[in-house]
Amino acid sequence: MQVTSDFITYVRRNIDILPAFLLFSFVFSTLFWMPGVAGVSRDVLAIAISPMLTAIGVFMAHRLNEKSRNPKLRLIRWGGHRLNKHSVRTFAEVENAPGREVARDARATITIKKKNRLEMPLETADLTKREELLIYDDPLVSYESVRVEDQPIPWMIPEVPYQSKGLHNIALKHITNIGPGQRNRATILEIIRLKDKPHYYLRVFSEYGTEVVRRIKNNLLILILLEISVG
Amino acid sequence: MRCVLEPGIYKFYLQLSADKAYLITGVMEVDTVKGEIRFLKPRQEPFSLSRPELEPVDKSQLQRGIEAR
Repeated sequence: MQVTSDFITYVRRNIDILPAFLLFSFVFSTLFWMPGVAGVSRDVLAIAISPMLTAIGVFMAHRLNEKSRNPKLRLIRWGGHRLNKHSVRTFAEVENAPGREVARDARATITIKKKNRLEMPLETADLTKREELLIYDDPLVSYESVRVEDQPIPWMIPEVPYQSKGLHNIALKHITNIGPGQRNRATILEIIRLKDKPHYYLRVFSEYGTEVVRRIKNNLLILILLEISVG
Repeated sequence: MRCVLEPGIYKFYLQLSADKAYLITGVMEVDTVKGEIRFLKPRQEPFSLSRPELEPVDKSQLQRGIEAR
């Protein structure tokens, strides 16, 4: 089953070479049926079609070579590490295959579905109420129209030159480059065990990274600075 | 932070992409009812949240911890 699936994936990925391959096969086959049909000498025909075969062959070789050098990402393993005695973080370890080009602008995105019997999109009831959040937690998702689909998550080692600033001047951490044979980890969520109900606090990470941003303190600082400058 | 989810069973679809690279996908399931994380694609042993058990923490204590960081 896995072999069939891999073969289908291989064919689908190389489908652009198929027309060239079919053309090559057709032109090559003329060597065998054309002399009988049109009464042309096989030697003359071979001289006529050899530049065409060479051109198609070079094109196919070029495309295959290009494809074999393109970066190839692999999800090596999932993992969970205990941040402290109360919480665990889950991550996906990603590798770029050895001998390939650097995987530039690598991104990891997530889609979350609630699972009862069927998979359902998230609803407001699936989110922890705003008043129950920890003071520094400021969710990006809208409570009115909850939707977590293809949303970026942070890399443990983001690419610094690519870092640009987002909301509240916080650096974005969702883009990285992965060298050939090298790995990086995309951090997905943190699960904290709570004493009281609801017992678990599932913090899903965003493009802004994993650490708590003390925006309130910064705002206070700005307020203080403003008051000093005004006063 | 993207969002904070209530305990339950959630399926996470992960997509990885890069310039000139084919898109690859992974699937995992977080189940706080059974207390485990199941890795469906690529398949891997589940991660248990109860062995060794996570020590429950009070929210206010957590808050103080964050403030102390």
